This record gives sequence, C-alpha cells and structure tokens, in this order.
Amino acid sequence: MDRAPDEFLQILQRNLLFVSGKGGVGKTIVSQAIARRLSAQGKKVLWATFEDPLVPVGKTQIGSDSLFHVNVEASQAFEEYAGLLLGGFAKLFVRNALIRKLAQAAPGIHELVLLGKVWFEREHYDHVVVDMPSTGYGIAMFQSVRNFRELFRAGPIHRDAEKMLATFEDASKTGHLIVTLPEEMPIRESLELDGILHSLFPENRSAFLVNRCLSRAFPTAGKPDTAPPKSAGEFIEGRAKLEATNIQIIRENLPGALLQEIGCFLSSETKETGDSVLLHERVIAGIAGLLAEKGL
Amino acid sequence: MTKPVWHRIHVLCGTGGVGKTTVSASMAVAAALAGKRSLVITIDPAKRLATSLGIQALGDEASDLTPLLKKSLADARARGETVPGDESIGTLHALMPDARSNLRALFETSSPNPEVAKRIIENPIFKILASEFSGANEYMAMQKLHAVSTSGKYDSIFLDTPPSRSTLAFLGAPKLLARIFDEPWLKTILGSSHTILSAGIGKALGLLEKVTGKGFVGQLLEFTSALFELQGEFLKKLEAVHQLLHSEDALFTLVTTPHLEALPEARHLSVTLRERRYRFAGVVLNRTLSSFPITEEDLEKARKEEESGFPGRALGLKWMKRLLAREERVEALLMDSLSHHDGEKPSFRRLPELPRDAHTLDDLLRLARLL
Repeated sequence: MDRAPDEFLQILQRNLLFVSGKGGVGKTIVSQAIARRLSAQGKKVLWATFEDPLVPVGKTQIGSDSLFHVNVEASQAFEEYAGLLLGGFAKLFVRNALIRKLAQAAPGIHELVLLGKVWFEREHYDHVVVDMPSTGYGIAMFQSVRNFRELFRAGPIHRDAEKMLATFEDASKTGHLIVTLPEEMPIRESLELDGILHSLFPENRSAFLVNRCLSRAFPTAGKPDTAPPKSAGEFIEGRAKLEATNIQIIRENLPGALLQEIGCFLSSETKETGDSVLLHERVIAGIAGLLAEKGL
Repeated sequence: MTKPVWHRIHVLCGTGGVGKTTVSASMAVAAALAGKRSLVITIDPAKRLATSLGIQALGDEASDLTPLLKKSLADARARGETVPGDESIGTLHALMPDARSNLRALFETSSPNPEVAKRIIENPIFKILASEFSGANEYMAMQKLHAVSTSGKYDSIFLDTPPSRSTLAFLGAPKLLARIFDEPWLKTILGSSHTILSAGIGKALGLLEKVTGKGFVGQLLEFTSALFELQGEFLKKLEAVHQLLHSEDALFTLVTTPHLEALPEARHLSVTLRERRYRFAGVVLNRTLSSFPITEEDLEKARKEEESGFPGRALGLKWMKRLLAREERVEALLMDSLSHHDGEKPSFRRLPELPRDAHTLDDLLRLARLL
C-alpha cells in the first residue's frame, strides 16, 4: 500500500490525538493501533478511553513498557481536578454534598472534566491518543468546554477551559482524526463531524481515515447494482462497487481533504478461536500493520 | 417468525453504529403497514433519521410521511410485489425534537408566572442547559414522548435513543434532576437566600466562587431559586415520564449487531434494563449476513479473479465466512441469554445488512416487511 502524505502522518504524531467518528466504524481499534505504532517507535504513549463500561477505571500498562491505557471516569477525574485547583481545600470541596450534586446534575461538567483529564495527562507523555465517544456525544464534549469558558468569565475553570481550547486548536499540539467506513451514511456523517470540528477549531484541519476498504482488490469497479444481493459474493461485490462512489463524496465536498484508505484486516487464521480477547488482539496488531505500511 | 405485536411505546436502545435509527424507522413503517397510526421520534444529535427518510429537515412538529409511504407502496406494486393496499395502512409520522425550544416551553408552561420563566430563560445557565449537545436533548425527548403519547394522535410510538453509554444516562436523567430538589443543602441555601447564609454554606459557596470566578454563584442561586418556584409542576412532569416508561404500555427493545464487540455491551444493557424494571421486549439483531450464503459460484469466481491478480472477492469471502461463523455464535449466545429471562419470553428478530445504507423510504419499506 502507498505511503500516506507527510501532513497526514504528522497529524497522527501530534502530542494529543483525538480519534472521532460515528459509532461502529472502528475508532477503538484504530486508536489503539495508532497508540501501538507510536510506542513501537520508542515513544511513551497513553491510549485514553472515556468511561468504557467494560474495563476498569484508571491507568494500566498494556503491551510494552511504554504503552499505557487510561479509562477516564468523570467523578474520579472531578476529584483529581478539584485537587489540582484547590490543593488542601479539595477534600472539603468535593465532599460537599451541594457541589457534588451540582456537578452530577449540571450537564457539561462531566464532559469538561473528562477532556480536562487527557489535557492534563498530555504533558507526561510523548503521545496521548484519545478514543472519542461516537459523533454527537464526542462533539458535546468539546462544546461543553466552550460553554464553560463562556459561563465562568473568570477564575481557574475559565482559565483552564481557555487553555484547553487553545491546545485543541493548536495544530502543532493536537491532531483530529476522523475514522469512517466506505459506506454512504458514515461518510456523510464524517463530513458533518468535520464541519463541526472546523467551526470549533478553524485553524486545525482534520484528517480522514477510511477503514475496511476492499474495492482496489476487485478487477473492475463497474456500476453499482440495484438488485438486492443473493449470495455472499454478490454482497461483497456490491459493497466494493459502492466504495469509490462513497469516498468521492468527501473529495467533492472537501477538495484537498487529507484522506487515507486502509484495507480490511484479515488474520491469517480463518478458524474462530472462540476467544474474543485474542481475536481483538490480532485485529489491533493487523490494523497497526496496515498503518505501518502507510508509513506510521 | 411470529408477527410482531405493536404496543403504544417502543423504546429502542443499543450501542453506536448498530443502526437504531434505521430499525426504529423500519418498525414505525411496519406498524403503519399493520394499520397503526405510527410515529418515530429521534433524539440522535447526528440527525440521522432525516437522512434515513430522505427528507432534508425534521422539525419539532411531526412530519407526515404517509404520502411518501404510499408512493413507495405504489412503486413496489408496480414491480409486481405484494404489499398492503392503501386503504389498509395506517399513517406514518416522524419527529426530531428541538431541545432548545422544548426546554423553553417546559419552563414557560411550568412557571407560576411569566416573570419566573423569564428569570430562568435569561440566565446564562439556561443557555448551557439548552445548548444542543448538553443532554437537554435527552431530557426533552422524554418530555416530548410524554406529550405525544397523551395526545391520542398515535397508536404506536417508536423512540430512537442515543448510543448506550448515554442511553443509560438518558434513562436516569429525570430522576437525577428530580433528586436535586431533595437536596438538603440546596433547600437550606435557597431557604436562607434572603437572610444571612450560615457559616458552612457561606464557606462552601466561597470555595465555589474561587473556582468559577465572580458572578457565577449569584447566577446559580438566581437560577435554582427560580427553578424551585416551578418545582411542583416540573416534578409532576418528570414523574409522569417515569411512570410512562415503567408502564405496561412501554416496551424496550435492544438493537444489536452480530459483532463480538457488540455482545458484552448488549448484555450490559439488557441486564440494566431488567434491574431498573423496564419492560424488556426483546432483541433486534440488525445487519445480519445469514441471508447471503457463500455459494459454489462465488468460490469459483473468487478463484479465477485471484489468479488474475485481484484477491478482493476471495478476501471478501474469507471475511464473510468468518463473519457468518461469528454471527451464528453471537446469535446462539444472545438466544441463550434471552432464554434465562424470567417473565414474558423476549422476542428475537433479524434484519439483513444492506449493501447500501438505508436512506429512502423504499429501503425502510423493504426492511419493515422483513420484521
């Protein structure tokens, strides 16, 4: 596969990388594979997820010596944040039932502290790769930081929100990667997402990664079929025929978009092991391999 | 498969990317085909339903999609398919609530007088509450659900929810909001807002002010005190939603896909639904591939193409083979977890993956007929 242009690779190698996109496009696996590639280059890397209900809260080492995972949870992040802001007062502050309730009920504080956590962590790592929640909720997180900056016109939260937004907009510090699939709805949503990210951070353009592409390995592109497929072969062909048309939607709407396609990862073993963790491992390693071919 | 029974309210839950919006809309179409006056509500901020239905914008008022449905039926008839006649179908409506205007309306209708509503709406805190992505969408969709369900205009209502991480937050939201009013600290502060604050509260608020900067605490007190004036009405509305979702009329359906990643999250969701005593209707397994078996012809074609340097079909078939095996396993695991369910036996339905995303009423009609 061809090497990706330098600008694309450079976005992936920034200190902080937000991996966004619609649900189910493979953000978790892609972001983890990127983190793995960066750590393979000898960098200290943190892969961050937000409140993943399936893994414990907190930080663990994964894979190699230089690769860590943090599953950020809001109330814990809130206490930490309050500790940083207020020092000795923090305990008094967060144990205060009123403040606790306000933090729970006020929409937005949750999102603010989650993003605040990765923002703080970035100073301690060469790279922090963030697996963002799916489109709407992910955008809500950035939106919240902006809301808080406007609501609190002075004080430490205002100051931190301001600094966070400045970091997220700074193209020398933060990268935004949108993961999508070569299917119409995910492609259209990725454009919508890019539009919102652009309005939030106009100085920092996003890169697109189209996951699970197959069409280049077919003899002819051909005209997309209209009849519903009857067999697996027809299904695959139908999907591949639509790929180029779908990806073209991005190019038409966003001339000069930084866009890369990666193929479908297939492990060499065709037999199902029955062990989902192992399979997961292999898929991450496989995607990391595809990214390595791109020059990452 | 047995014919689905349409209840008054169907809440569709599931993780991101499983196609909840498409499934909700297809179910609404199926109910309309069965003669119901049906409505689909989406609160997905990505505004996917609008795309699914091939219409540019959905407003706060329900749009009538019945004429579009009739056209799709006519086209299907012209292709020689057997579909219900226009006289036997019900109606089809779609709605995407506008959080900001709904929240404003909620405060206005709950306020004892316009002055209180004004104090709330003009407060900067309201602006955050009402901003599109802060969760107000979820609060408001529930309110909207209640309003339309009591309007008498619809027999069956289908509620599309945000991805599961926030779906659970969405279910807990009204209760959490209601609990604020029971907070003794808040009562004390508000009770004493015109007198001298006790030393402890004064200190706590002083700390808060340190963090938020000057002015915010004042706005907060103003906002919450105004909020308290409409507490009774507000709680009554939230309670009504709570009652509605826990009633015999409301059924929760889990939408999931035959991917390994989706299974643990699906289990988590179904257990939580049961724990919170919502009525669990069953599972829709979306994007299944079992209707596309691997044929001899496929394999032959793949072999020939691979020989001439195009491994795409062979690769794709290998991939399909794995997905089909996985699907079988995921389905077995899902069926197994459903069989342990106490009470009414949950239903299980499959919808096939489409090579192209469902984005016209024709696509939805096709899916609806498979339900």
